[in-house]
Amino acid sequence: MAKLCESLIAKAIDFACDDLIVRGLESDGLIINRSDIDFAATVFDAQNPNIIKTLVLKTGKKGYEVNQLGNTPFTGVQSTLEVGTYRNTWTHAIPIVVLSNTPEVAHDIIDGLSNGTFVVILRNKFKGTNGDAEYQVYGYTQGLVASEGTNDKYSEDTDGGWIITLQETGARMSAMFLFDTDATTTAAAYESLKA
Amino acid sequence: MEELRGRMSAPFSIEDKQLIARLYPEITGRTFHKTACRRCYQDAVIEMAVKLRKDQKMKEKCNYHMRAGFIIRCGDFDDGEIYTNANLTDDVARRYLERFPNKRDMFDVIPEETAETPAEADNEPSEASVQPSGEKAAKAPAKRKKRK
Repeated sequence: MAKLCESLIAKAIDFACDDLIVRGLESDGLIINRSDIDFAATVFDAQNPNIIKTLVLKTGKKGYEVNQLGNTPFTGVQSTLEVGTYRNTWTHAIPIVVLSNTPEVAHDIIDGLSNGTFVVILRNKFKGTNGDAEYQVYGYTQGLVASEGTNDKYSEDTDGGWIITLQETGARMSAMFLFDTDATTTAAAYESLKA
Repeated sequence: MEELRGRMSAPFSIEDKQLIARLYPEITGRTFHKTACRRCYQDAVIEMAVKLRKDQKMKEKCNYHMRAGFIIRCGDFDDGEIYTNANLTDDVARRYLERFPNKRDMFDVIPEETAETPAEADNEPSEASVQPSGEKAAKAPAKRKKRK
């Protein structure tokens, strides 16, 4: 008998009147070198594999804050369905603006972003009823790598800064979230990832 | 701190910036990111002043350090109190590891156990409430052993 991997919806497509989605992202996020993650120690929610309950880094490693200015920080973040021959996957893209251009920035940030592999956690303005929708994790399964990078000296947007787009292709999940127990616990876990 | 606040109207000197960078982790328990941004140093001074006014003391030094991403929150440990590196104390860490020795891997710094450390000096099982460890830590400064 042929093996089948079922892919079914498990819930009505409905909306909660008292918890309608709102657009946008908070201005701060977190970027982690993917090789710093202790994957063996990751704990997923028992009922929902899209939820990471515990994300721990290797000894001595930490994540780095990413702060964006403007009324629509992290503009351009999006997830796109990619139709495949046997299964469909998702491509996640995160443009990161670096409003500076110094030797330190080039060495410590741009060169790293250009060639590294990352996991990024962004904070949705839509938190969900119990806070489980706030922290969205990108790059966990395939890693985010640079797909585009520009430094336009006369850009009216960046005033000579950098825009690096990190992309994860072939992701199996539409979205992954960091959430443990409640909003307070999750916020503490998120803060503990920071440098 | 008041002296630093008094100088906030003008750019901080290099000495002031070095002082702020040194005091910030001691007071807040978090890393200070050195930048060329004047406002960042001002914000740091304000944050430290607010924290000192609120807590009325410096952050208690802890010889344990948990790996990034790991926090202590367990329903049957200290009534589910949340502990991060920002509020972890030697006493809490020691009691937690005594209770959950399999969690040692979640720590990247565990002090070496000596005859004078609180772990051996305190022979009676600790109660659920957190006991101040400042005095005992002052008697026997523990060596911090970094885990590989």
